[in-house]
Amino acid sequence: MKLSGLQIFWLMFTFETGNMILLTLSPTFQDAKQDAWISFLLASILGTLIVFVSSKAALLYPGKTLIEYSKLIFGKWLGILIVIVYLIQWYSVIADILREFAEFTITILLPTTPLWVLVLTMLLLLIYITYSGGIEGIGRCSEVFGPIILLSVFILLILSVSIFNYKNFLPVFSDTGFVPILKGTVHPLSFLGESVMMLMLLSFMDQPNKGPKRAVLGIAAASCLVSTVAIWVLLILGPEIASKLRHPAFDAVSYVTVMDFIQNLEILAVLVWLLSVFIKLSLYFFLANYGTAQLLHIKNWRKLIWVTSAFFFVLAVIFPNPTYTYIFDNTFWIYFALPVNMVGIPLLLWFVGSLRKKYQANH
Amino acid sequence: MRKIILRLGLCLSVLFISGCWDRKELNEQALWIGSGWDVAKNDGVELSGQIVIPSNIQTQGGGGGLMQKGFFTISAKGKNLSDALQNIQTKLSREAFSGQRRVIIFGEQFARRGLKRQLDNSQRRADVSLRSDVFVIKGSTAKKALSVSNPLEKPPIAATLGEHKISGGRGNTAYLSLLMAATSDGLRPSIPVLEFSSSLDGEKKGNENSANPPLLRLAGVAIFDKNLKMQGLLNMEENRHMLWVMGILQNLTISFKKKDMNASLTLNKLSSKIEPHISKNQQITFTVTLKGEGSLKENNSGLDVQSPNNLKRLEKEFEKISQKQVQQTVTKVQKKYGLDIFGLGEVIHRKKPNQWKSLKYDWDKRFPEADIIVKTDIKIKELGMDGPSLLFKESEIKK
Repeated sequence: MKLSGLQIFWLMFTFETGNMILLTLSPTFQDAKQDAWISFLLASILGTLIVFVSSKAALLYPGKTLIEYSKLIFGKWLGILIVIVYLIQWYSVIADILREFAEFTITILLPTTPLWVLVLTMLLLLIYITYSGGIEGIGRCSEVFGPIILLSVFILLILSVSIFNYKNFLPVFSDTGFVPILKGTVHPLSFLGESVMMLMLLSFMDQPNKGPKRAVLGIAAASCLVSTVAIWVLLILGPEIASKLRHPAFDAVSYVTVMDFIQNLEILAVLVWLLSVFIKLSLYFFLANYGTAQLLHIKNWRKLIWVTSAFFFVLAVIFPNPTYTYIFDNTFWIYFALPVNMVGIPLLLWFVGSLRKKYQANH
Repeated sequence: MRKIILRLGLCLSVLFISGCWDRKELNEQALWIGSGWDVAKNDGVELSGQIVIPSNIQTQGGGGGLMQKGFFTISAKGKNLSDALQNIQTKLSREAFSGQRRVIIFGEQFARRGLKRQLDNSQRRADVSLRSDVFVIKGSTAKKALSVSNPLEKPPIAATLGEHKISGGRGNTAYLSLLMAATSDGLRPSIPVLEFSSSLDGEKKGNENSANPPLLRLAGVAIFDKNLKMQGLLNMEENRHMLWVMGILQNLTISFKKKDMNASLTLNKLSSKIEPHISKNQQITFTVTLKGEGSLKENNSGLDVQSPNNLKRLEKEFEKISQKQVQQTVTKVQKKYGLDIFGLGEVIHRKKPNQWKSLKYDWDKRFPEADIIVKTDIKIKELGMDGPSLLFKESEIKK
């Protein structure tokens, strides 16, 4: 199982775009109003820093995964604790994304389909790609899906230039100020920060040295695209409406029409979104299985898939109503996962790891 | 063994491919293309819908015989839209499908009662597009408006959309602009108005197959306050002026008539620039500069427009008449309704955001007191095929 530099780029790009476009726009517009694009640009800069730090940290021990080198850096018990913190994040987010995927699909495409069917179908796909392809299969998939996403967003933007209302940008800054803009930054940042999975992914690269650069480029490309989409939504719907809709990008797509005969493009947008969500889920799915197997010293990590899938299925179906995924995104993800998993631990790993390396080199 | 399992799995997956839970056959759907809203007892609503009859909508006629109507109208009462829709469904054999809904009409009484607690359904549902046209029907109910057929358009509601588009208005962006105005502090909503009319002006209205069939005509614009209650009406000419000030008018024909001449100019490039100014004693002044470029359509005089001086003179006349009319409209809106349908408050919001913070709370009081100066700047870019009118003799032509 080897990943090339190009695959890392497309992996980062593909897994970030879809869900970010769907889920971060509305909360950011709520906080930062028409200055949401500033929030997105800030988040882009901070997000690339996160991925840079985490891939640099992983580069200290090339060929070893987070599960292995966190023990080398922090010792056995602290290392295991750190791994468990990440496993909690991965396990919970898989269930959360599965649930969100199923609910959104039900809302817009399949209103009478039972939820469990959608969760199960997606899980079967995940099992298939992870079991037979592993991380390499996911990487190759993203090489195909990534360009499709890029192209379709690009086409949508071009088709809608004529309905842009540039006045929606104004007034810049004076309605909001620093605090609301920073508050808005948190939402996209907590999604961009998911790129800390580079801590694991780097060990699968054939040329780990290329990792940091490719990953940073991938995240930069993804955040550019998402920021562009945010500006696009702002120009079509304006800040007030965008903040009240749950998925403003979806409504903006359905608003696009070309000469009255190209209409209702939202279904295409949903298909593109599905590609991205699939990559994101399968990445987390692989990491959760592989990480658990390494932690528990199970030789064949593929056998674990059956156990974990059953767990994910139950977890995804057990949320009693849609507000739980909303609460998950707005509490655990922002107040715990962002500061601890995405900022704190990667920095610590990098810092302590480099110190340790220097210390070892001196002796 | 493995192959057998694979094959079985493949066969089983067929069950999922068909999407059996959510099949939506076209012939099990009722295509709902226009919605109407009216008042009902106990603060309820009466929802009406124009529904396409698919078998009568084909364009290739089968020879002679009477034209079949391409639609029918259906309505029912309820507490709100969903409740009324459930009641409609009791007499509709197919499931109402709103994905193609393009027009919403409010009865005047309904518009005066207020829209605020009614419209959520359209945004909550994923299949209804934000791209809709929206109208108020003057002095009548929406269900009657939806029952009027049109000689040109098979689903007749398409005719209102066409009228709206061709008159240079907001067209199918009207609904989104209503939502935007409803959420904004410095812009009050305005919705185009329809009225009952007939093909021939001044003649008695006949039935739909007669020479004078009933029609719906665009009749101006309805003004709403910030609670989304309709407060009054502007006529079609004032509607155009309003749209010009807002900068969204697409085309406009200005005509003037003096005792020895009359002329018309069609502007197809219109723009508006608004400069707010707030003096030390808090007096607000807006300078509205309206620009227009277009082609000369009529010049019933001996004026030879090929001479630059004459063209200047014409341009001045057009500027004068349009300035006067727009100024009248603006003053009327200020004095009679006091509601900022032009979005001048939003201009302050954008250009002087700090001052806006204190103004926005009582904008409805401050707007009528503001000075609004309208200036027009009109350029004739095309002359057409003749210089002076051909009906004038050499001696009458002014070079």
